Amino acid sequence: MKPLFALLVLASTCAAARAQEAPAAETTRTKFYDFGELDVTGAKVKPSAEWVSARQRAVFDRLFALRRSLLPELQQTARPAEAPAAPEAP
Amino acid sequence: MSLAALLSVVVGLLGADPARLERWSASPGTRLELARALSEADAPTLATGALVEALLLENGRPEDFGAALEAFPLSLDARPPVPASLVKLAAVPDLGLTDNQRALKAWLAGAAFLQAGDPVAATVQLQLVPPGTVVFPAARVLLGVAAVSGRSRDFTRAARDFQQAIEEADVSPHHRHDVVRQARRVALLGLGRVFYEVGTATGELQQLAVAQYYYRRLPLEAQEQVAGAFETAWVFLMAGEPQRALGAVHAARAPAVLHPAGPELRLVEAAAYQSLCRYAESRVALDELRHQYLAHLAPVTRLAAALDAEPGLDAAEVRARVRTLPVDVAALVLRHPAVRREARALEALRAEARRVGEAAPVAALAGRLEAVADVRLASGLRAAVRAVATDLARLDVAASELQIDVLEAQGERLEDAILAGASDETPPELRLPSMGQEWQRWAFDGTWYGDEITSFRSTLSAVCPADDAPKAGDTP
Repeated sequence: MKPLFALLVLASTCAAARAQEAPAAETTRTKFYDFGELDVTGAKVKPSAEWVSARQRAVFDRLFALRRSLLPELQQTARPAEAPAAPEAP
Repeated sequence: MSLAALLSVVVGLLGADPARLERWSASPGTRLELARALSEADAPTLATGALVEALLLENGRPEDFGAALEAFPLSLDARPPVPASLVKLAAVPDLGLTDNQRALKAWLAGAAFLQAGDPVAATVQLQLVPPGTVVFPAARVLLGVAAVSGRSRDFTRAARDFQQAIEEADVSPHHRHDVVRQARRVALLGLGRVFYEVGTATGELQQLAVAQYYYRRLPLEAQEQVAGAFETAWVFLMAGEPQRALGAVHAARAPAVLHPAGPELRLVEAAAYQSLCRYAESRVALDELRHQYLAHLAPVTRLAAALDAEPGLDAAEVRARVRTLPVDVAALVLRHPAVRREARALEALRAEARRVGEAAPVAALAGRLEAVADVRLASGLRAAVRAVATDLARLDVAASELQIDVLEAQGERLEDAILAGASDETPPELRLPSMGQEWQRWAFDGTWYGDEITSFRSTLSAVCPADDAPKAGDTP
């Protein structure tokens, strides 16, 4: 019984190996290219000059607004002081 | 009649009974007598208080008011203070008053109306002051202030009033009087401010040049010079002259001057350096501003809120709270004009009370005035804490914006340097020397000093690329 089982295993292994080799033989194709003269026409496409100028640095508005009013100081000019001597009605 | 004589007569007539003395001093006439006597005794603060009390009692005789008014010390600022309650003077009839007394009455009432926030009524009173009187130049100054205090803000009229104050002060027969000389100085300051406002609003450089002219005419030793130096820095900065702005900043920041606008001076300095493309110096000024003041914004804001929640604190308690702040910020509060004015008035009141003596009517008057002065000092301290918190919050925003601008410009400069083939080291013009802690920074192009000096001259150039060089009127 054992020799018969070993024979079957060997046979199935050989069959599988033959099955894997078969597609490689089928995909081998020959391609032919014709390098004869061809008339190729076309136009070169490139950006116009204004598109290829130097990289522009982003310019942001300044955040700090330089402005100071002296109106409060002007309105306090010569302001008589808040007095210590401003009693309630005695 | 001298105070001692008056009191001896009163005490002789009434005896030493405090109740009778109090009743005596409660009548308007006796308060006016007291005011006049106190003024003669060189106690102007007490005299002012007695006059105000007499006004509050009403029913005084006009001739009594006139006599008290003539004894009234004259000053445009806090020496002595003019209480807002003096608006009642406007209702005192002119009948029986001399020309000079009428002028004094109108001037004091006008000043009181201005202080009470009624520039229209102030203008009516101040225009009653006739030329040739000692208070006429001072009245023109107050008219100029009233012109810009209303809704219309008439700068042309203000300039005319200030200029007239100067002209009158120069030809006044009283030109040596303190109040006349003071009016002249304050009018110069007012003219500088008027032309600055007009110049910055219209963008006309000529107006800013006129403002510079008036600031320059302020006497060097005048107390108005402190404000003048700070404001001159702004004038130069807005006129596109950052080098000269820096000179004014350094003059205002001289160690001998305790300038209340210290934090803002740092911002002006940083902005001036930025205009010159000297970004490293600009950042140093901003760092100092942040380290010395802006870092303490939170405690000041908290203190302002805490004081609002405790309205009953007296001056000593509020002052103790202020002293818990970091020292530089506490100094800003204690140096605030509102605090200094009230503190000075309280000290003057106490000194006068000690000098005049313990006579019952005077002691009672001094006690009442001191209680009021204490409340006003506490109020001044609270106002100063609020003002400092508001100022620092405003400067915090401005400094952050300026810092972003400076960092951005500095980054661009570094990028340009690297693209031009430099190494990645900081370009020489962006470096600052490193000095020890004992040196103060006098940031004129890397110059340092270790002692107070009387004058200093230096030149400073912009390091902007040719296309960005600052031009006249080119403000950042």
